[in-house]
Amino acid sequence: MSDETNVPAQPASEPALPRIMVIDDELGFRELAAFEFGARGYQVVTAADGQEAVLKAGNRDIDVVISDMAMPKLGGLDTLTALKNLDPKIEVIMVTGFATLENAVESMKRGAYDFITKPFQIDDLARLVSRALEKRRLGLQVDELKEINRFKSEFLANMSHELRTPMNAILGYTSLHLDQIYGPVTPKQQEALKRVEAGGKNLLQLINGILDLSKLAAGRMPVYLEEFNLRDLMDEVLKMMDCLAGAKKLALTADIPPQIRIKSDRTKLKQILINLISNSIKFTREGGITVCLARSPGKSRFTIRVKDTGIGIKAADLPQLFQEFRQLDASSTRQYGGTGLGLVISRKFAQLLGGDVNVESVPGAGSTFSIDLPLESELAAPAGERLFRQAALAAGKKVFLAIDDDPEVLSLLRDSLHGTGYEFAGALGVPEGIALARKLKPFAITLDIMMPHQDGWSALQVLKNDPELKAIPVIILSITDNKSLGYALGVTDYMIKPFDRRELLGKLKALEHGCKPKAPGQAAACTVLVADEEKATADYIRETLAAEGYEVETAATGREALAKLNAAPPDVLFLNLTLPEVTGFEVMEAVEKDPKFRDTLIFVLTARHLSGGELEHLHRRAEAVIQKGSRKLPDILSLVKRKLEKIEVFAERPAGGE
Amino acid sequence: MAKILIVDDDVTNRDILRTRLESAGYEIAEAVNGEEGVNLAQQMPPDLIILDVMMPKVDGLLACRILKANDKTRSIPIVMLTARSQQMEELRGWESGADEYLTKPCDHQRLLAVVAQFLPAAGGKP
Repeated sequence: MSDETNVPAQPASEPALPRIMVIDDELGFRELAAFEFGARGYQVVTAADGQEAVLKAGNRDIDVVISDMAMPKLGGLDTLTALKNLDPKIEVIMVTGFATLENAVESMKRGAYDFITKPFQIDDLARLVSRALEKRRLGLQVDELKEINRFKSEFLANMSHELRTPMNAILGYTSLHLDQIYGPVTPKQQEALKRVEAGGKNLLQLINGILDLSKLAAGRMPVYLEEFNLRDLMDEVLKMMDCLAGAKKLALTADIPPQIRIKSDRTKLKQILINLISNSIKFTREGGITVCLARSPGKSRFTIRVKDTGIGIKAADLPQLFQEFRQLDASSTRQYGGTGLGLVISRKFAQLLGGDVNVESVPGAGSTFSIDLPLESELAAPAGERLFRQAALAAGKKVFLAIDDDPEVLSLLRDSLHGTGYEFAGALGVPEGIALARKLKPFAITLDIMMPHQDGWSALQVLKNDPELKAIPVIILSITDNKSLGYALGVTDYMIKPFDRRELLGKLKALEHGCKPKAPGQAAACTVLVADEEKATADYIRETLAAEGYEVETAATGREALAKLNAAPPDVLFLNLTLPEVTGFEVMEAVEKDPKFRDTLIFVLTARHLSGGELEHLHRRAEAVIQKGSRKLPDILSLVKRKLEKIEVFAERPAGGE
Repeated sequence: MAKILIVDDDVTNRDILRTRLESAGYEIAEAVNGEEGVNLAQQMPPDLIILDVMMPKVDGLLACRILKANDKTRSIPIVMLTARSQQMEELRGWESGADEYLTKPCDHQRLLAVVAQFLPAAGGKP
């Protein structure tokens, strides 16, 4: 029974007391700890063994755990692992005797906060606990801040529509008035309207700049590559800039060869050029701006130089020039106008395209900005094939492939899979994704729907029509909810963004069961072990499943079951709880402890009436607990098959299923 | 008089476009979402359609695909309206079948030039 201390109810406004859990098989220590820590202002939960602890920790938010090392049932180390799986940020302090000091080292490896050896002073333990609590608080705070930062960037990126919509009205109606479509406008009114228009245009530029920066910060700036002639783009830019330069009586000249084909993001390069040239115009009083191309023959890169005869920049100020949200001199902003975002954005755009923007300057004589870019840009996203390590394939790791045009989603998926043993590969577009699927033969693919160029549906068509790829389960991961279409096109599962990490991992784990490595051309049979002393039951299950192409073995005692399990971990285990020699519960426990049975699906068959606690325990590991008397055996089996069917959606068994 | 169908969920945007285009001598019809736009286009049919991309229910991309898949409306030129030039580049990649793209806020000279490119004879002041 739980011997929780009575803590007076907290007024809602006060922060909750930190919760600690004490796990020890000695009642005396539990009581002592509950008293001592209760008196120190903690809420104390106690557990007599590891299993109870894991169950309780699952229901409550525990901050710090004090766990005994030597305990019956689930030992201290396994308890530690189970608790860390439940909540990676939980801090666990292990209590060890001298005899088990090597376990202390192991527990640190498994993520314990610290250990303390018996006998100890309760004050020493209390100090450890308060330090562990501090660590947990900081850890949670960091998580929260990361999340808030991400939300902030996302919010800004999503705001783009809302921020620009009012500008439509301002600029649109102003220009209608200026063109006297609503009737004659006096010269005074004209002048006022022109100011509204100029202000509106400036504001729009500012909004665009801030949104660009936030998109860049959130990793959500899309890159669109195409082949074009640089000279054409240059002519376009010069035409736009000519009147700006002309208004200040500056000469704007460019020397670009008539034919130079590049592959880049046209809109971004145009924006870089406009930013740099207008910046030069802004800071030049007399003289002019020249734009020229430098290209070493044979090199795969080119450089565009924008040179002015302006005021120049002090050497000390150069490093700050490209820093976000920093302007060199507030007074210069007032004098020359602008937000100072243009240079930052230009450099980030160039970097996105695999290049850079740099500056050389002599104060009083002028500045030269150089844009260095590859002739052929590639999608140099943080995610993508480069994320995939060839070594992983050699190590026989299961590869999971995600196709999504949003690099942020890819890195989120990659982070979600961290530590799960899956190897992650990401593709930012459909062609790249399909190429990776062919190369890596992933065990599962998640697919976004709304992608430019080629959407997820078309990718699905390619995947499902390719004999080599059609067996790979595809999970749609999209913001659009179109499940019926998805299932009709053969997807295995459908998840709506934002996705839940646990849900995804659960789905992947389930898919893994259905995706055992197969010999080419022929599906390996699913192996089943039936552990039941009732021969009639075991035989019936064996015959029915064998007819469907399963490879079935039987075991009549718990010991036989353990031997066969250890010899070759089966895909599926039917386990009767009342086995002779070694009981089903004990078999279950052995299976739970040994990682080699991680992939084994367990169906518990029992004629016994189970207590709530037993059921809860069994359900943590078993796919289903089936009461023997409650249904006829064929019904049970078809229930089991349905469950298998769901998991093995794509496993092609030699004999047809249902 | 050449007829132009404006499909946009934003009333301000529709009004600005309508005023601008009416003053240039076109006859205007309006629809407030993609679904209504497609239906109206089939009834009328107009000589040109201006289609906003971001709309609830049937968005501009889907509406464009539907219009271009239908024999009755296939030959009507479609001008897509999008928020920014970057999105314009992306839209080109979508291959929705649109004939031209314009960014919002619309520069009216460009708007009239694009429209006149498809309806050369119809323009002119009333």
